[in-house]
Amino acid sequence: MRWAVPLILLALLLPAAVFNFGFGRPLPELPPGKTALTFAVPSPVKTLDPQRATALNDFRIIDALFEPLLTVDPDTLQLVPGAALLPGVSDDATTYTFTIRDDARWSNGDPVTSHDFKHAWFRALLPDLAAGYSGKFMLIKGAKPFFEWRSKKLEELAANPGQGEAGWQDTLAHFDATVGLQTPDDRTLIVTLEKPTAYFPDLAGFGIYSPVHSPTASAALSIDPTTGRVTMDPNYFIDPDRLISNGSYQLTEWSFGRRMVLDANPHYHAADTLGNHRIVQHLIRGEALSFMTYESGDVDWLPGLPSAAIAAELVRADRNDVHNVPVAGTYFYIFNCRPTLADGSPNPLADPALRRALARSIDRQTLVSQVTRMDQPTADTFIPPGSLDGYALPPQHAIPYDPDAARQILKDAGYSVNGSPGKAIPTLKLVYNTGGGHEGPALAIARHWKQQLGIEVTTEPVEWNRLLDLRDKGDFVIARGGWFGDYPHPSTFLELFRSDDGNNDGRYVNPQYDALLDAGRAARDPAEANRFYQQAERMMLEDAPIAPIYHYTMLQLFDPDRVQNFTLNAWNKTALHRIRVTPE
Amino acid sequence: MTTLLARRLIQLPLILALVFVITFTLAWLVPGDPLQAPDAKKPPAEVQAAMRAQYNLDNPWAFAVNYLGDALTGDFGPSLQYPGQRVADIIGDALPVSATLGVTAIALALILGTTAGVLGALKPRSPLDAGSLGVALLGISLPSFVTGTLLLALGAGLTRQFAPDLTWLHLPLGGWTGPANLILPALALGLAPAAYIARLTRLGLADVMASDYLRTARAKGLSTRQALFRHALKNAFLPVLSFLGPATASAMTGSFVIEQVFNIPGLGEHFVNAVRNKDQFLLLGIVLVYAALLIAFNLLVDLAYAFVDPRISLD
Repeated sequence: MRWAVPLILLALLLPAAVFNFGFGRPLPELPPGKTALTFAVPSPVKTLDPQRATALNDFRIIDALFEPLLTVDPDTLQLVPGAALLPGVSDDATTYTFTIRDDARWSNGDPVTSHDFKHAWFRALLPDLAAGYSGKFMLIKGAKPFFEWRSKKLEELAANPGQGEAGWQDTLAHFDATVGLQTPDDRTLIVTLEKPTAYFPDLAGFGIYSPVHSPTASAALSIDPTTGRVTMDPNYFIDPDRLISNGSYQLTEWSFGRRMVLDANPHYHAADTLGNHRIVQHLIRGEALSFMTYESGDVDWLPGLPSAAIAAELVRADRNDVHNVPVAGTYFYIFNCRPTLADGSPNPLADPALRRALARSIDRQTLVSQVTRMDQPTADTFIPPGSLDGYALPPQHAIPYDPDAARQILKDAGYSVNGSPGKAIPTLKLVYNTGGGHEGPALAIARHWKQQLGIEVTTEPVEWNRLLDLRDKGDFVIARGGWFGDYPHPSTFLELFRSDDGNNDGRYVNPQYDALLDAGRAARDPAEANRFYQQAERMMLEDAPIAPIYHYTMLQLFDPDRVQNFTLNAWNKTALHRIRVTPE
Repeated sequence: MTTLLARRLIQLPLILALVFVITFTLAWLVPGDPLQAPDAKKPPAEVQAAMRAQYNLDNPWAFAVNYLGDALTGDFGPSLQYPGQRVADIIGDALPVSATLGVTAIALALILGTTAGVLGALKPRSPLDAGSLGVALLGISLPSFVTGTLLLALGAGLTRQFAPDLTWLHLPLGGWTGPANLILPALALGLAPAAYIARLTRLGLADVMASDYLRTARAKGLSTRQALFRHALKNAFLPVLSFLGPATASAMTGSFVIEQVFNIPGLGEHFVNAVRNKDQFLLLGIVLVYAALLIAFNLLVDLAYAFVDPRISLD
């Protein structure tokens, strides 16, 4: 007995010992004279599959591993050649011809071909592998019908087992015949679009449009014999020995839940411009811990410290390594614009006058300085000013904090304000999600509305998933929302309020607004396009399907003397390959 | 003994099946869409439908049948929040970490707990007894995020601040790269069970020491110390033993809080995030592993009873 318990405990450790107690391996040796950039993120990378990624965290790494046709210059935010030269465009902005640069190489030395892009985009359009951003490919001619055709095919295949291989051959042929992607030779890719879209090159510079090494990636596909569905060997985007990339770096190690190591891709066409040989991304879960690790010098850079507790103090500290960077995203409240609420009762917010008044009665300056305490730029518009080159909504069209005007709007619309004669406004309900510091702003804003307009607003915290569900079903009056742009173009923001957009949770329906978006999309001259988009934004703000509150900021920590050539911009285009860490 | 083993082995699949049904039902009823990206951009309807169809999320029956079929061959499916990661790989990677930490914590708890309990029982109502009671109370009442953060601040923060040159004294700031990473989290995780064990030992000993057979033993001339170690401790240990089974299982499968505080790549984080993000595959996988471990440890405890107390018959 005396030894039983210790023996049992030791025996329990035996299986763990086989795995080296989970301690993992030491970092591979860095070549002499080379430097590494080390940083920490709070949540794991979800996937390195460019066509499946949706998270900012993932795109930071994907942008270092893969190079799309075009890339965004981090300083000017202009499109510059990536794996291809700037495209030729047909006059009607429906056909784009890309020429792959002749020195574009994969990390195994193979040349990058037009087929690599076609295969990558094909993967994105296969319902078998559908991912969050598949919809972003549907502006290619024939893409949406192909997606629907294959979806139907999958149902047939499931009903007739054993036809998988034949169905797959049909699908490949159908894709070639119907989708607007032509590869006349290894270096030419001709893209035909469904509708004139002048911002297609902006999309083509977004990480999801990155290529994959088609010989190995297509070999990683297999057909499920019973359902006929195609699945991708998940190991392909995890195993450093299998993943072949065409960007400035290649994958050296991915220890899920721990760290990721990238090393220079020797075949990259601009390999001599890399600032560091290696990038090490650590996963550090707790914010206090990641801050302590940064302070101790174990990591060079913290790309985002969202917790209000430490962050608000840092913003106010006099430190040259704290960078509170405005980013291309907006925090707002969604107003339900549907005529009736989910329970069938009339929706008070169906009246734009009431929404307009609410949007003008939020004291945003006080909110960011005293409630969030992060000094975010207050949002009088939807698109963050300064985030887009050449786009700015004239100030007279913004919606500033103006409670007098708000009360006047209500009186003009026949409402009772603070006891004046008129229609009474019922109590409104605001839902927001728990966690993430949304409670303070919700209570403060409900108070602003009560004080300025005499409107009673109750607040209800719900789980994040529940909030998404309520928003999706339109079962809310006022709900918390937020939006980050994907690529530097007004459409990435304004398409959100297109009448039939899936993310238009307030169901703002305005055919005139949609027409302006269409005109902006087709206009080849950027200045002309911007004019349409400005009109659209102005119209939307006036109708107030949302009340913008503030534009997000991202708190970045790095010592500019040690970490040089760091470009801070609103689009998460960090350009990891340009950063230079001074050797110790 | 063989009967007990046989009985438990027959029960095992039944209990696991029950656990599966309950977890599956609850996981299905939780609101939310596991494929919904956290930045809340919804794909078009046809894409959403295709995404759900990929994982049979549009049909609970097909999901359950497929899942069971695969799980029997050791394939726990893909993770829904981390596309490309397999649940079996995630668990295989995180379980050794949690197990190492958990077993170390329990060993630590046993050493600290029994020592404190015995010391208290040797001199009842002495300052030593009061002291061990006080420490135990603290250990039970303080939540682990407080003890964890305190230990981190003391062991890793203050040493760096006040003794920047004594690098050998600097315990790591979390992470999981070597045995030095074990010290603080094992202490933080072991403190609460140590406190329970101390109280259980102390109370058990007090009972046993007052029993007839011990009075006889001491009448025969054994000293208090001899009587305690040779006869009493063994019997007083029974309640500790029954506490140990579930405590080890729960320590081994990861503590979300401790793992979060010390940045340890264990199972606890995955468990909580799987629930939060409705990652049904990962959730089912972890719950099944947890249930199997819990059953195994309870069986171990039952077997250990027989060794400790010959009056207990297992057949």
